[in-house]
Amino acid sequence: MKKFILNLIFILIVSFWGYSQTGAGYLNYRAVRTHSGNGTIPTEYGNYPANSTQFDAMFDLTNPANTLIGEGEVIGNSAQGTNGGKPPGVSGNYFAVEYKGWFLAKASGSYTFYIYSDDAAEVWIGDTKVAGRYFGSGSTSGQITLEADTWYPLMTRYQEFGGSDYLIVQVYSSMFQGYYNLGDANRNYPVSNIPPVTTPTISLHYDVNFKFGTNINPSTFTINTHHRVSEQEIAKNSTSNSIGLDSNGEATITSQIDETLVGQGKYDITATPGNVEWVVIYSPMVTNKYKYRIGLDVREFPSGVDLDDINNIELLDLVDTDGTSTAFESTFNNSWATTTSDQYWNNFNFYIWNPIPFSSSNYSSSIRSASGYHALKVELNFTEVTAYKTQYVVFDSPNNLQSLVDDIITVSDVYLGFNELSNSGIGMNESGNEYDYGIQYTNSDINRDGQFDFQDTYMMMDFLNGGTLFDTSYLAAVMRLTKTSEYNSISSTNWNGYTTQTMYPLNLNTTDTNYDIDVSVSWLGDVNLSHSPTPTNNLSVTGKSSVIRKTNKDQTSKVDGILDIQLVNNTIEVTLKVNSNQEILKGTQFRLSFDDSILTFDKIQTTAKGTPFHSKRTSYINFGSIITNDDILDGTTEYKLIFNSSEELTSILGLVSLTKTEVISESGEQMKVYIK
Amino acid sequence: MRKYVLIIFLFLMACEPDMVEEIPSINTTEIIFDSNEVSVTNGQDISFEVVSTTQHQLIISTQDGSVLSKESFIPTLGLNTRKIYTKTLPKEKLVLTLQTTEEIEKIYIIIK
Repeated sequence: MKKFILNLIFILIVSFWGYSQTGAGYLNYRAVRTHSGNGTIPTEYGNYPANSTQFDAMFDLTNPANTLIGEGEVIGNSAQGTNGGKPPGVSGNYFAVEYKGWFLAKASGSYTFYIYSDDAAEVWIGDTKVAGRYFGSGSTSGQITLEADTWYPLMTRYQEFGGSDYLIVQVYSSMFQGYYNLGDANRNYPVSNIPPVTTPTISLHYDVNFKFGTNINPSTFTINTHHRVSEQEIAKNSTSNSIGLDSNGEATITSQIDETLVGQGKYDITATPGNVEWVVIYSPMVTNKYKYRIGLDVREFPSGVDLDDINNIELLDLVDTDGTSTAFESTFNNSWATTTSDQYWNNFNFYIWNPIPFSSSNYSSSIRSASGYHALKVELNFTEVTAYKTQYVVFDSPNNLQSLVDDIITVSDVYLGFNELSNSGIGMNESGNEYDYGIQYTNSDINRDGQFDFQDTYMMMDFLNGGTLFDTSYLAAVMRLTKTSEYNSISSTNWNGYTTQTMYPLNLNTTDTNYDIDVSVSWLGDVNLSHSPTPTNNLSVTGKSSVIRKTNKDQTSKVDGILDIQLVNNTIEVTLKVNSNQEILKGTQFRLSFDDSILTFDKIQTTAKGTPFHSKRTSYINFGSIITNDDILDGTTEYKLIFNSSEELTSILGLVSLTKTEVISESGEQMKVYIK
Repeated sequence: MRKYVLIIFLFLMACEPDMVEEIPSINTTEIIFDSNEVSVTNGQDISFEVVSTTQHQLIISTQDGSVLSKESFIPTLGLNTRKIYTKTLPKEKLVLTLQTTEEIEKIYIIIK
């Protein structure tokens, strides 16, 4: 039993070796016994093949006249290869041998392929038959122009009926001088039996550059790359691990990209010479240009594929169209999808400036000219178009989202929004004289209805008061990613349509190797652009004022505040007195953080004029007041906040702290407050 | 042979355990304002000495002087110990000040 298993393993190993392909210098071969091995002439071919079709028939193993002798690989430039034509197992009469692989054109120019054979033989480069002869011993040659540093599919074959038998293929080119054997790499005519490019590969380098506002630290964000699963669903790429942005908002996400190519449901059609007339090209209508109707037999189409699914059609050297034609700087829509098709033919219209050159085609044997049409004797090949999956770079939600949003959207944003509206900015005429950039209107449209009006400022006011009309509980509700070039051109008339999102489409293209995209990060509610990039252009903004109201912490101000924190009967009373000191104030906002493991917020009291507000978060309270009419916050405004303790307190230092302060002037500028 | 046994016996009898001198523990309370800069963690005790029993204030402020948090208290003469809570404070270098109307002591604290 053990011996049997060992033998089996040995056989498997030998079998594996038998089908492995070495690569450089080698060609694959297939040898077939023809003519029933005894000279009987079948109906499909004669003593010698009369043409390529009959040659094909000699390798058709469904024909009982043919049997496989062997197949494998041989050194191309050898007696077993194309310098002799005798691979293992081939001897006697009545056989045909085919060699396949790739030929490297090392220089651009014309190459001449010579055949010396007994009997018939051919050489093909790609879909082009370069040379062929269809009788007993003799020679022939043919030329083809090739591009430098390109591997071309190679096929050469010959057959033997009786008598001598050999195949020798040589190559000549003026670039390298002299006649040398095919496969002689030292003479610049190398071959290989391994596809030089087995799968599309790319040397991909993908950089994303996110442009943040100056008050945002980009390095607090991480990103991943996802791919589209369906219309409603994306999923993280299996190769994607979170990558942090650097301090400039940049990251290289090459390692996150999924390079798998997937079918797109679109097909390229190519045609190769065949036995059946599957294509008919009707005589054209001649009106300024040639309009051909071309019918493709529906039986050649795979199940479920019709003309709507076609990306490109290439018919021999006659037609090559992706659905449009350009001639003399005019573009014509070939509109195959709109052309009537029936149960027999999928018809499409093909526009071209000059008539299809049937008479000069290299495939004359595959073209039959008839009255009113040409028929093509071809097989149609359908290749599905592949591309990268649709992928997006996606921001991970930060741990401090709530405080980030509270940093971005403050009383100065609300005050500026109110001013823009009250100064006639209402009603979409964008003439409130307060905004400088179109993106400010985008950031002001809190309810995303395409209008900036008091509903939006009401929601902003509700936000300051801790309401939930403006849902900021997830990052995609406030973050907006816009291609930087577009961001810089948002004006007062085209600011709609820029939705918030945390995913940005990468638009991967298999022909690209280096990506470098600039994306601007702005925030819904950031009316004063304190945390969004300042656009480079302020296009078409009517009523533009000269000052953009950003945070200006260096602004000298007379405003001060006195903070007092007292422990009274195990409750903490925090008192903040804000002295305007003759400054005209229209709004204030403060953030008092508290240790929520010990304290619970009880209440707030204030003497503030206007509209006081406060919002309670998990571990801090935002509070302040805003004036939206002609009044001002004058004199001293006092805020008192009460916290209860869950334990007996003897020390309170640091249990509460005033971590954010903001007051705004009449002109909407943010001013620094000095807390004593 | 008997002589050797006797010598070994005498040798063993001569061995005595070492005397370990006990060092009395010293109160090592550090006075926080004796340093220029210290790191503090949440709930840490900080000690300092005062020379009067008037109202004192411990104040935590940013380096540009804006007050973040404070505590007022009446100390006992000499060494005092109080807690500092850091969960609400920004993780940066801040200034801790002990002040009365007459004197001020300061130290940089780094919030951990």
